[in-house]
Amino acid sequence: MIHTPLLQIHNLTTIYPSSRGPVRAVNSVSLTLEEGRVLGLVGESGCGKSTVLLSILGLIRPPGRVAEGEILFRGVDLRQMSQGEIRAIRGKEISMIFQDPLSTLNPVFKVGEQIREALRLHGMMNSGRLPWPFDRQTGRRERERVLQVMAEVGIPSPDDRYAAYPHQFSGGMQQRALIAIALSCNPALLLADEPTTALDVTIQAQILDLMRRINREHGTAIILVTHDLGVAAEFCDSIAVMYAGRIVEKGSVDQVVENPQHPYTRGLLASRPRITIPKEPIAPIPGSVPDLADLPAGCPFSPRCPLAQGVCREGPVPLFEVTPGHTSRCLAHNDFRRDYDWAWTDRIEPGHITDIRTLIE
Amino acid sequence: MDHITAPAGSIAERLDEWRLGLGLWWRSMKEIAGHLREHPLALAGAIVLVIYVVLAVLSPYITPYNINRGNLRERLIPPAWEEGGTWDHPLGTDPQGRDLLARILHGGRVSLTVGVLSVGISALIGTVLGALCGFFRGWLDNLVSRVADLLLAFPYLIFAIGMMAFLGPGFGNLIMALTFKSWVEFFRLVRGEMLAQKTQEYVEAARVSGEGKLAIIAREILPNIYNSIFVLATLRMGYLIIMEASLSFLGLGLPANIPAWGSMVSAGRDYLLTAWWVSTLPGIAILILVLAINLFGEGLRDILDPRLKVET
Repeated sequence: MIHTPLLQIHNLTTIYPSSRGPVRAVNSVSLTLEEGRVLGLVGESGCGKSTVLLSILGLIRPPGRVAEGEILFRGVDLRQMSQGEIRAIRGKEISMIFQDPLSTLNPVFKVGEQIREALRLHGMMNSGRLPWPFDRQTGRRERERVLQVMAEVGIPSPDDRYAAYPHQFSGGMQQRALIAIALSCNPALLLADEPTTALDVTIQAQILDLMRRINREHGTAIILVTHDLGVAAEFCDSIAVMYAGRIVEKGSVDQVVENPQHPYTRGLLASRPRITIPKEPIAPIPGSVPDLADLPAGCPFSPRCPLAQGVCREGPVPLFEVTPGHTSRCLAHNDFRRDYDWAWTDRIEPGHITDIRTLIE
Repeated sequence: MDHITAPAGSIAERLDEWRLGLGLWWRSMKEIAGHLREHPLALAGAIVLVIYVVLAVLSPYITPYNINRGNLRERLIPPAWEEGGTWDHPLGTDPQGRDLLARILHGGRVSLTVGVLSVGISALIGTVLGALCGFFRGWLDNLVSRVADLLLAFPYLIFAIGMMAFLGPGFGNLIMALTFKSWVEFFRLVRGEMLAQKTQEYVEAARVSGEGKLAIIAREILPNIYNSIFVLATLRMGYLIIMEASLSFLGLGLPANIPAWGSMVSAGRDYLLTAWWVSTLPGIAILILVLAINLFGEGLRDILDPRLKVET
């Protein structure tokens, strides 16, 4: 039998029309996620990370659209599915959690009822013997499952918290409630859109812990979208770094974090303050994300890249395989490293930029 | 917690559920009542409103008199506290010798019924259309919004007069004439709220969990707007009661056999100098009711939704 990964994305391109021409929010992105693994999608805001997630679920709002590509979930293309079919998958097979838990929970409903709604929506607890209003057992089992899930995500005394409203929860508890909603139907894939960004650092660690436990205990595969390479490094099996709608570097955590190839990845690493080195100046990447409607012809990072040469600005840069499983979209090699003096590149140990050209030849 | 104590599927469990629901409702009512204490004017309005409703409901048991058949020998008796008044007719009688108290109480029934029905129907129409238009936009939104603009361009009273003249007096026709324009206010409110709410993240989350569009509108977004709709409904009710009274005053409201405050005021015009009470007392009844409704509505607005601003 041929092995099918849980999720396979080929050349996903999502376009939003704008007055200055189409904006490619996601540009030929390819990803593979195996059953039960954790993938980190890292990049600055506006680089298309969240759009990838929404594209997977078929929730790009018109006039935006997924222009091309395949999204194979268990070998079946989600893009070919009818509205009804994909709605049956949303929330049941693939669920999603968001950055701001308070605004994601409906303010006027009790938290327990919102979790129950997710179950009811997909008929998870239906005994199947009688239709809904006559089936007395369903409601009972739904509530039991809600309390079980609430306990599982670490909401203390679920019995009491069932009837609480979202604003009566703390931020961490709200995020736990959201995770409970996402987990209620036992999905195979969890899409997490910056789930810890709005939380305190200590709570962040707890939520990440919780997600890791879920991943281990239920085998739920996770795509974690974050701008924090540190979080991704700690949490994920593999990492894809995105810039201006494209994946610029992809590989296992060790490959990407220990041996970053793309100057952008190295810039991200250097932009993080490190607690071990006090008063060390942070080295931000100079410049800002390019206008997606008006991308440079060559490498989109070239305007900010200290290594950029003429070649970089000429045409699209392909993904090079650096080592097996580790790819990077950069032409840089030793020849280019002549006279850069950006502070942030100094912090990268020399010798990191391998000669990619020799690798592909 | 009481929601899991009873055994599964039992009647006791159902009862538990109802009790829980009732308890929550009662708690939110108590919460509103608690807030009312900080708004003394709104509280006064609420109390007056309750008195009106009780009196209207109980009116047949309060006075023994027939509201339509008078005794011409007892015509134009002044109220009891005036000279020549009698406690048989505490508020006096009208030119046909009918008891004014009985007619005013019954008029309260009419006004409240007309107010509640016309507000209810316009709220229903306005909410459904506003929700659909605000959520889906497109040609439907364009069409309904233009119709709404068109209706708003007419002065309300003249519009209603025209409609009533065309349809003729009658209970159903009156409700129709009042509703015909009044739904626009609800439409605009709900549509605007819908536009604001549909970009909220909880809507996105509902889409992500596989909910359909109509379910999202009805079960996720609308519950967030109910408060605003309720406040607007209260404020509109006072306005519509005045409209009804104005139409009745002009003889365009209800048929003559139904005592409406407006037609009572109109009937007493010729006797203002000799028997002031015939016109004045129903007028005061209107004044106090609408004042109470408006005070209550304003207070409710402050309590439930400080953002909402309604111009009348």
